[in-house]
Amino acid sequence: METETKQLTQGKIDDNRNKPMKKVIFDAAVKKNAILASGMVIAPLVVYADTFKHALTLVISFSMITLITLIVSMIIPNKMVYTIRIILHTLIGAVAFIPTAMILDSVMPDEISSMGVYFPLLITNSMIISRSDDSQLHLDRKKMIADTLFGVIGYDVAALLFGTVREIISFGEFNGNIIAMPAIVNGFAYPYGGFILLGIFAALLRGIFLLVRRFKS
Amino acid sequence: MSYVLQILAVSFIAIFVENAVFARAMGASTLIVISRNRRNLLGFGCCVIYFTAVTGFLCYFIDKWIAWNENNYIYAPVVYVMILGLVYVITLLCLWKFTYKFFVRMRKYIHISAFNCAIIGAMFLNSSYCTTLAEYIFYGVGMGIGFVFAVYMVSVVYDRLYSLDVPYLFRGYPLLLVYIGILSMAFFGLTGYQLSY
Amino acid sequence: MEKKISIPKTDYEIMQDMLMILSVLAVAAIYYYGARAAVIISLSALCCVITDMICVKLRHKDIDKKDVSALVTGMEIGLMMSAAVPYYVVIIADIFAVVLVKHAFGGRKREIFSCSAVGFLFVALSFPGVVLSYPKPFTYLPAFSYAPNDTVLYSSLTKSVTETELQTASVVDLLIGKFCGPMGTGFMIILLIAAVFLVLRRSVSGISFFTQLAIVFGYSFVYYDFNAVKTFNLLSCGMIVFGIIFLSCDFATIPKTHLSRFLYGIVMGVLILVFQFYAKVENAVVYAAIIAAPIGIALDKRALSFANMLKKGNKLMLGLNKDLKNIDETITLINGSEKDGNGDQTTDPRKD
Repeated sequence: METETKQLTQGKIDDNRNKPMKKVIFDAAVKKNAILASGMVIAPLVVYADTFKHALTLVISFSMITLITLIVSMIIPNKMVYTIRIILHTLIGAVAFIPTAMILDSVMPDEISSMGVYFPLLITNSMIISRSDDSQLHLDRKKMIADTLFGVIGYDVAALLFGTVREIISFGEFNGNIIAMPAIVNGFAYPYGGFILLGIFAALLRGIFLLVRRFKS
Repeated sequence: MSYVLQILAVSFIAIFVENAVFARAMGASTLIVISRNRRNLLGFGCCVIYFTAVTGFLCYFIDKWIAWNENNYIYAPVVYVMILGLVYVITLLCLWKFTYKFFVRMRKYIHISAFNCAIIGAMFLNSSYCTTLAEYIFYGVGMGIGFVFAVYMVSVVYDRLYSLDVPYLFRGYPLLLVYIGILSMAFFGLTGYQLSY
Repeated sequence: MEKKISIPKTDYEIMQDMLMILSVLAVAAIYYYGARAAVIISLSALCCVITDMICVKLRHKDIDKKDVSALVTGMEIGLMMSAAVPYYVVIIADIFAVVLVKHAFGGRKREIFSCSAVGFLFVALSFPGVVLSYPKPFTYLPAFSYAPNDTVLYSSLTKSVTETELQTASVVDLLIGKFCGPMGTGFMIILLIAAVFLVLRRSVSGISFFTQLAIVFGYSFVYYDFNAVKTFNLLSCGMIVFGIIFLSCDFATIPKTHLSRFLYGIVMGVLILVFQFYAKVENAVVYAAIIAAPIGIALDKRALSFANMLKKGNKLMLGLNKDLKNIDETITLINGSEKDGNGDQTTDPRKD
């Protein structure tokens, strides 16, 4: 079991090392999209991002916390023990949360308070946690930054799209403006609807890949 | 007697009504990782419950200590992460020192069960819902059991979700989300989603 | 000499039995609510069948003429609806049930949840105003209007029973289904006869059915201070009997071994009671059927490993559990066929 895991991790490390820059970017933003393919940080999305405005709030807060944390945590040496590394990662996240919360509290206090417990929870989001995993290391600095940046951008685009579609089908509105819809299914505004809609989105992304692959071949 | 019942009610609410995954969607990504490996579900479950209980216990004292500040929610995460980190390191050290074999077997699961949204989420919810020490601990235990229950519900059907019978578009992750969504819909009956987040 | 009741063996025969009962219920619904009931039920059935055919085609599979499960799902959803429900709600429920609950999970007999239960619950939670408001029996609504606006609608008898605990319908009315509620789920006399018929024909698992009914009846009887009329009230409304027959004992989703069916019955019974008395939701059986489904699978797996253990040892014990004679077949049914090794990427997608 242990050796299997090691081999697997080693394979991942080798893969990552030999990846061209283009592939790193494409993988981070689209192919392994945090929301639609990897299932990362889906809790606030499913519960909170039921409108475009909420999705935007989530995207801003998530991007700030994650980017600051991941860029600052690059200073942590790779050779450090996993146990300490993961604690440091989350601790940096918690420290990054302080300025983020102060800034956002003054800019959009209502939106931030409506996020409730999901706002501080962003410090332990799986994008930060998974970065402390062995397989994510051994990329060179540039690729690591690109991976982080485009991972966050991929998350943001997907989250905004998700929030927009969710608002349209569950409230018949876009950013508060009424849109003529034949039927409004407000079940999608609830967490269960969020899960189901996210499942449909993930299936659609796979469908797009399938079509592209077929078109190419 | 009524006190015991009250404590049981708190645990019951945390397990089923405010289930970490089905009602609050916390720790869904950890759930995906864990449900793949059912053999260690028991070990993982014990780890999660242990962490929620111990952090719940410590949170009771810490919450009193940080209650002086109006903006404590800004600083609370740092304190919580430090507590969790401390518990995590001490646990690992104890296991390493006393039961090395067990430590080697469980290391992976201790890592994954300590730092996830469900545990930190339980700490935050603890401080907003609970007042007494017993409530802190049992709410934490309830959240842990609820999370493990959700993992179990997923691991039971894991083979089916990844089976070749399932259309490629839905196989695996998308279907897992739909599955959790459907179960979450049924649990909706218990809560009515009048939860405060 | 009395003729022995024949025992259906194929899924087709089971579904035929189900369809027969559902048709009888549909006729009764049409008698109470007129043409609109007929339109809703047939629209629902048609929509399910068409969606099912499209999905089968999209998955590059052959259409099985003997697979009438979509028709059964459609009729069940139609019968669970209010007679005043707008048609688009029925269509949404049908599409949701067939696409996301049936075909997304791998099609017929691979579903984890009862399609009709999930489809109905989704619209009941999304459109509670129209799905859970009912006209009184013998209110004949216009069949071809989008949604009848000028009709007076009431909350169901279930709601008044669960919330106020007052008995509001006579036993005769309950027996003939003459009370506010879903169109086709209240005719107790038909349902009870149907239950006996289906159990005798082995279209519905007797163990599971009677366990659930006994638990719900027993607890409610004690809860209502041994008042039989009140207990009967509770059983008749809230589609408990209908739900137990068609949603929880659905042959595609029910556990495959006798032992697990018995345990599943207990779990279902307890869940119905929790949702009915603790959560006080309308139609508790629908929620219970959804949550109990994965538990049923877990029980099946336990029962199988137990049976595998027995297979080596005591053959007498195995004889008690007749379903387990074809263990390998049952295992495939429960676990799904071969697992996709790496989950997401490895398999050739062109197969689907």
